[in-house]
Amino acid sequence: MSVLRRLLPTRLGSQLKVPTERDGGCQLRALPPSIDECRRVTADATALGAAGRWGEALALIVSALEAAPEDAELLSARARILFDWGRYREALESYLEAEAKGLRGAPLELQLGWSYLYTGDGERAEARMRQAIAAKPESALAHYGLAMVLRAQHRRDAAAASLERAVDLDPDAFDALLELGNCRVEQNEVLAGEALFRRAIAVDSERAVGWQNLGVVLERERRFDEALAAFERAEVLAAQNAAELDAFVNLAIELGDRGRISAALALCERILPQRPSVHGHSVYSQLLLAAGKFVEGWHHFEFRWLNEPLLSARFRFAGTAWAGQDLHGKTIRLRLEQGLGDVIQFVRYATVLKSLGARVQIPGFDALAGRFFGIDQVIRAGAPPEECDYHVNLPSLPRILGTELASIPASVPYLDVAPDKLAQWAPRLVAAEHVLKVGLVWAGNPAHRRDRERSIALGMLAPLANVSGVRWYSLQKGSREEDAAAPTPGLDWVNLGPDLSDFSDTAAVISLLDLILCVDTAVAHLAGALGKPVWMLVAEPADWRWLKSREDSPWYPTMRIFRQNARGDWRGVIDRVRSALQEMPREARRDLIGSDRRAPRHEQPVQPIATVEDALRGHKAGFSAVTETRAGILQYLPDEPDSGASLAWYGEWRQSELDLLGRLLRQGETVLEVGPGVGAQALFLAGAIGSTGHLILYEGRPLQRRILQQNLAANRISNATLLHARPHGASASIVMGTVDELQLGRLDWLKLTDEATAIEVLEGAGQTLWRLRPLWLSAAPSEPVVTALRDRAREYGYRCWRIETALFNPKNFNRRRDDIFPGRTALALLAIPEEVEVNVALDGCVEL
Amino acid sequence: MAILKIFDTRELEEFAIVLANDLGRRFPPASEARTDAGAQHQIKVILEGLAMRAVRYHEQRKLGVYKKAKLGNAFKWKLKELGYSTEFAETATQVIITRLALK
Repeated sequence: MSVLRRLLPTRLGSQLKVPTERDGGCQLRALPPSIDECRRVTADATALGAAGRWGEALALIVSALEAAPEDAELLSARARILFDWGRYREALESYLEAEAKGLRGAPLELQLGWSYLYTGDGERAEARMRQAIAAKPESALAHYGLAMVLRAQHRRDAAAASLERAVDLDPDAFDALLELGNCRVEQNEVLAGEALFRRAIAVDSERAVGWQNLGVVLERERRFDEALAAFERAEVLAAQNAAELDAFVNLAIELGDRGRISAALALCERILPQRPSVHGHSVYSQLLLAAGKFVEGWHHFEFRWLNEPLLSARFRFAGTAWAGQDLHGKTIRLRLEQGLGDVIQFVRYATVLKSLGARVQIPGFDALAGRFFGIDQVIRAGAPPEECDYHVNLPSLPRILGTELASIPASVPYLDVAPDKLAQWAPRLVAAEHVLKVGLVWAGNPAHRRDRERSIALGMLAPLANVSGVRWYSLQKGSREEDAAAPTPGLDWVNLGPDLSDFSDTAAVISLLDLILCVDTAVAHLAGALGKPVWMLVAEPADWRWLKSREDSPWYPTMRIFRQNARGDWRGVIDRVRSALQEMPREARRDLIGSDRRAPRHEQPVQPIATVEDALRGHKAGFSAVTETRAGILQYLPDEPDSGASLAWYGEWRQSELDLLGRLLRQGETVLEVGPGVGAQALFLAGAIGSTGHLILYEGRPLQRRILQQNLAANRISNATLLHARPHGASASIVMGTVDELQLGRLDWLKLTDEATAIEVLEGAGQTLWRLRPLWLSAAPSEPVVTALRDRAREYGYRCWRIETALFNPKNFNRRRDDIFPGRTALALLAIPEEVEVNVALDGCVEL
Repeated sequence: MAILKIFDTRELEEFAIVLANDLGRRFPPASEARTDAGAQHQIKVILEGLAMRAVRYHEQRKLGVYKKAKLGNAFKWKLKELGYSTEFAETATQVIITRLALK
């Protein structure tokens, strides 16, 4: 890649004399300040910093440092201001500089520990925290700091030990009490966790996080009314204090679990437009889906990728995500996620994709993979990556295809069983005539988040022992398989679990049985997909896919749902199942035996996304949404003019400018982006400068800033600093300083992304432009602004190029062929210092 | 006997005057008295920029030794006219000439 080369400066300094008193010059270079003066400056700066006036504080310190560059205390004060400002990388450098100048002691070690932690160096962070403790063993803060470092490294037990020490030293340390409580809950010491949260609340009852955590632990203890009260308190405090906490999310979950869906939805709809939250959106989507509001629910369901565990599992896929593009003659690969039940539920859409002309691939997750209808190719593990035109996340298909409650593709079966498997298992599944063969699964994967609720203790099945005319077969696998070896007396079953090697075996067995009786596990999905009668036992609150109250499922026509009448009440469920079995009319029982039911095959209408409006169906004004882009996954605001539609449709925004920057940016450079918004271009910039580069982001709009923070986290951006901004009074507005106030030590590029404020920002960047000579690229809303920017640029000795790019990029990320911005273009100005030699082609740029 | 054409340097002189005026606008003669570190950096940057512009002018018009000297001379006299000290004008001119000489 061609680069811009800076010319070596000519030597001038020695020839331009600085006037001295002897020369009769106007001003003497000031004498170095006294120590008292330095301390006064430090104190003044500290006070300004505490008020969030970081720019002014930094200016004081920098001015003092010019006269006393070796003063370690001033360097430390500068570091502290930078740290509070969120400029952790620069803070770390400054603290190290102070250390090099002789500063020592526990406070410095502690701050270095925090700085290393926030810049991602856990090893050095731990070393510094331990040095802080060695220097001052009685420091609760040091022990707390070490604990947080250990927590970041997922060393929970060691962290808990440090937190215990911190709390011993300072019984009123709120944060230590809270974090220790979190550790205890994770260690399944729920009561101990509750006690610690209550201690924290006793220290400070106005902090929402204490009440939130208490609510979580009360919910785990099944003290639901108290949990609700705690969540309500947390949300009130969070709203009052403009806290960053998503306290409303737990409250919404609790309301939903109680069946108060409308109240839960209303809460989310009130808060999410003001305080977008990736967790909140996920919960909101599940509430919508549970209420049968599929269009809106699928739209927000995409937020699942911004949350754990999918966030950690997400990987960049070199290809285009399918979002409704024409599939005729194309290959599409299904991407699997979450559990086997989710795969089985959504793989039904393979036949729909085939009907749209695609060749469908699926990873070989199990021997069953190739048995699903509509699958053309199974990609084996370890095989070289096959070419495909598109990829799609399975659970995203309902959204793309416009599935509503009434249009779920529910034709069953949508898979078959290998004949050899049927032949293998048939001899073991022979029962007397008129005897119902019933398969039984009573527990799921213990690692599942809600396994405690959804699984049934084996002893609770005892009432089923008295049902006559039933032959039981255990299909239980996993950790509860051992229970099957010693069945409940009277509930003699044939234990098939140990011989089921994979789901193709399970499918064969299910096919040969008359009825499956199971809890909410993948077996229920498999039985439903095979079109076999399945009675599913569901705990309250039920998973969103089973909706509310219904005894049937629109996903599986042969499914009957038995729900708890109250949380935890399995006895009532088992009694109803026993009665249903015992009292089943002979005809009905006869129908079940050996049945091979097929639900009528209806061709449900599919409405793949075909327009921008389709892409945003389910979107409500004011809400954010999620899309895959060239640079990563992005939460964005569809209502933002032009950029919203571009991101929704093309998966990119002003890509031509980014392509130009890509040719000019170098690894390791420092870029300041002012007005990045939600970060549509910031993700690209972070990647372009690499891990050794530094992207500084300055965003003053609270809503965009919040989303930007979430996008940086979701994309694991480690080389970006999002500057803190001081809230202005009680309003939501944020006071932004000038670029000059940042007093940056290095700046290679200045990017002005918010075209509305470009000139204003430039007015406050004069010193920086002279001092650091960055290149800059500024969006411009109109020709007069381009002219105004050019004129300013020339004042600072810059050459300028006008850039006009079409909003429609024919090579867009989503491969859309239509131009939704017919003929419209965007303007920008590229400015390069005139002393820099330009030896790269600036295609599409016109020098002014 | 051929009549030697008189070399027309008006355009060259006008260019030199533009450079000098630009310097005068961005770093006025009064700025010579500035003692802050920013001033040194600023003048260095400005002169580098002017030098690059001179180099581009040379690359477009293929200036010979004479024209380069002419450009430098016009630049220096304009600086003096604007009110810079002799020392400053000579030093600044030297920056331009040195860069041109390398091309």
